[in-house]
Amino acid sequence: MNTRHRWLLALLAILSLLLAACGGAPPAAEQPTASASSGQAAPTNAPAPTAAPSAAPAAEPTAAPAPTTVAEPAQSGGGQKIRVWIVDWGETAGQFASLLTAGAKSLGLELELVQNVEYDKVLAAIQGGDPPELIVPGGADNIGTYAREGLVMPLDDLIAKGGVDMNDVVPGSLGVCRYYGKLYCLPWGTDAYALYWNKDLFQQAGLDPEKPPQTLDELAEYAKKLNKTDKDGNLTQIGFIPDFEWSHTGDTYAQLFGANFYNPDGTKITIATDPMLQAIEWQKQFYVGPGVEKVERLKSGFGDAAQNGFNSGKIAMMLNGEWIPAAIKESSPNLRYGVAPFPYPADHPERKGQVVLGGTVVAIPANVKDVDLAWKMFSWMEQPQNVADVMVNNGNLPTSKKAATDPRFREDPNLALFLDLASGPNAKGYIFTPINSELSDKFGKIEEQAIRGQISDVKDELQKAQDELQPMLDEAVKTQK
Amino acid sequence: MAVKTASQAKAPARTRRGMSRHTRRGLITGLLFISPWVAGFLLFTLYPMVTSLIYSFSEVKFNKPLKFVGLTNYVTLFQDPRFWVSLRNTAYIVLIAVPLQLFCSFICALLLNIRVRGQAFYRVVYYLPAIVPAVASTLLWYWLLRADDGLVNHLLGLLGIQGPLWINSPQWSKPSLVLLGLWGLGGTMVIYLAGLQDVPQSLYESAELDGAGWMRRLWHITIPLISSITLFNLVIGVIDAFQYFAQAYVVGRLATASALGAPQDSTLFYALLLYDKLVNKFQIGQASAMAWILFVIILLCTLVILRSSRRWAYYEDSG
Repeated sequence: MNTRHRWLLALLAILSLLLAACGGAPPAAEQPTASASSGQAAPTNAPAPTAAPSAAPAAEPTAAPAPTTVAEPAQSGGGQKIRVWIVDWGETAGQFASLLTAGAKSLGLELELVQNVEYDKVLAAIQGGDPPELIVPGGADNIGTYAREGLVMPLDDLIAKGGVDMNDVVPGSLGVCRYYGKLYCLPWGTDAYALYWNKDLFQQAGLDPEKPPQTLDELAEYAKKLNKTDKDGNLTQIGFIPDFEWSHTGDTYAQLFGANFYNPDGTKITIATDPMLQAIEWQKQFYVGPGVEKVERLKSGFGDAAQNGFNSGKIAMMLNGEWIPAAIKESSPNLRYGVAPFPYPADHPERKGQVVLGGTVVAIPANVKDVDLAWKMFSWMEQPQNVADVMVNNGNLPTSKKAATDPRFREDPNLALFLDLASGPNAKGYIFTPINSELSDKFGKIEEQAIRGQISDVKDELQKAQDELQPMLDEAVKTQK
Repeated sequence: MAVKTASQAKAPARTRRGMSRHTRRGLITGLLFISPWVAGFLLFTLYPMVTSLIYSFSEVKFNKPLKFVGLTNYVTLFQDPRFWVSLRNTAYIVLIAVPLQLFCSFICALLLNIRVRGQAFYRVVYYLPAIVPAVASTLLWYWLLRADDGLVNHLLGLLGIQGPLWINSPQWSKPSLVLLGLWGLGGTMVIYLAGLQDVPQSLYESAELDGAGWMRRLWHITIPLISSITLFNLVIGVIDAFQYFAQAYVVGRLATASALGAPQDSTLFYALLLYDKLVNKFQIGQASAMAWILFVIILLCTLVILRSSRRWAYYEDSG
């Protein structure tokens, strides 16, 4: 072979390598540790309100499908490109993609929507220096950490410029975005939780199918009546599992008992309190009562959609979010169930109808290239009419007061109930801090064991966790102020 | 061709003045040919490694310049109980799953080396699970091992045994993963199989003439002669085990609390904790430190295995 040919071949080899490199993933070269190689899908630090607003059942078999780009077919002169990443939701429902695409088009923009993004991709994109213009996480629980690390930008200056009517935002929903006086995200969709009960199972157990329990004690009493075992003593049906589907349901119980993770201004951790212990103790009876091992055995048989514990009639009552009716309509249309405000402690009737609001938020990566472009799309998304359109489509609640008056939210009486709860006097927001991720890890682990009766001195464990994390919060408060 | 040019490039210069035109051409061509590798190595291996080494001694913040903090990251790590939990869990895989996997794949290879009808078919069947992606096989086993009506517990039930909670129990989650790993042993098995076919038949024949039975032939011929294969499989197995991630990650999300390492940190392996620190906690410095500690651990383990192998691994050419 002559020399010239060799040169050509070598050049071709280099060229092909370069092409391959260019076509590949975004430059994640900054990511220092390569050993977590096979990271298929990314985890969410689950035990916190990462409510996936769409019909996604809890333990979604992770292998998240590769993000699909739902870009409009490129038209001639399709306008400036805007990238929006939907982070850590389940599948979005119905017309979601086309609603947003049409919205971008009305602004003269071409939308590149990527769904099912996991947090590790967001981190890589921001560190790589070319992040999407907007990120839309399913819950705000990571925003504090992102704010702490300077990965998302404070929005106050943009808000001052106008474009979003802050008086229209449902009060209480802003708490999850505010860190020490600055807003790092704005709420978009609201999640609220209520009691679901299976009317058929109530009837079989001799309970009035139209009368859900009113107080927490009543719920426990009903639950006992709704447990069923087979001849070998295995559970075949259970009344209530406190952490079914979501581990963060504990937040609701905690607040019902008057406990909170932090003091109101988010400077002190307050997990080692008597109300918190009461909330854990209350949950414990549903595991220890029927037997932890038996409950776990029953739970292991739960699947997705129609096989989900509640839809398949294995659980009689559950605490779950407002997106469930839409999901049930799809997977188990014949299920006879009701929705009611979650019971309250009998000695605190003033907590009747209390809900903890979480939900989807929108944020802008700190090193975004074109802030005005991002804000343009951002403000479009936050317009009441658009909030209404998108949230009606998703079966979620709006965060805009004007959008909440949209009659479409009242078409389904179940969704209407959530709307009333969310705008009611007992709607509470979360208090979030920049150390949420760490706290929910620690607390989640203690709670997981404590409600199964596997920790003898729960208060001591909580106190230890609190003492360990408080300095970290102090540090975060100090640097952010 | 590339090999040839490379050897030309290495050839000593024929004259004092340096390389001839021809040799220089050869050198340049050779370098160009390996340049994809060189570029890849510098960019995707050396650069990240050096960066992570620097990170491991620094406070790394996205919005602030690097700050040298000495050994702080390492010290914090050693004080983190989750670090030790993850190390223990990983040791379980290294010490229990790896030897078990070697043993089972050796047995399988022995069986598949027996001339029977349909040998090729059996080989394919035993190898197939190895090409199933880790996530898919984990999902599959998750369903097989479901405590209430999974196939495994159903079969155990027929024998009158109440099966354990498997993946949903902190005591059984790791054994479940070991089981899952054994199902996918096709890769190591095929390497063993190749080794077995390399053992000279003449040795068996003469041993047979001397009256050696099946067991003695296995012990005195087969095992020593494929010890180099065992060494290879062991080293690769140990390295893989230290980086155990995908299966545990999937299981953690499926199990009770849908959190990393669930249930109750029993599947929190080293690589998982590293990932968690990096992605969820932004402890980039600590994550980098973990990566380097892992690197050193793997290096030491490999060295120990290689050192010890002088006593038990046998190479035909070296005696």
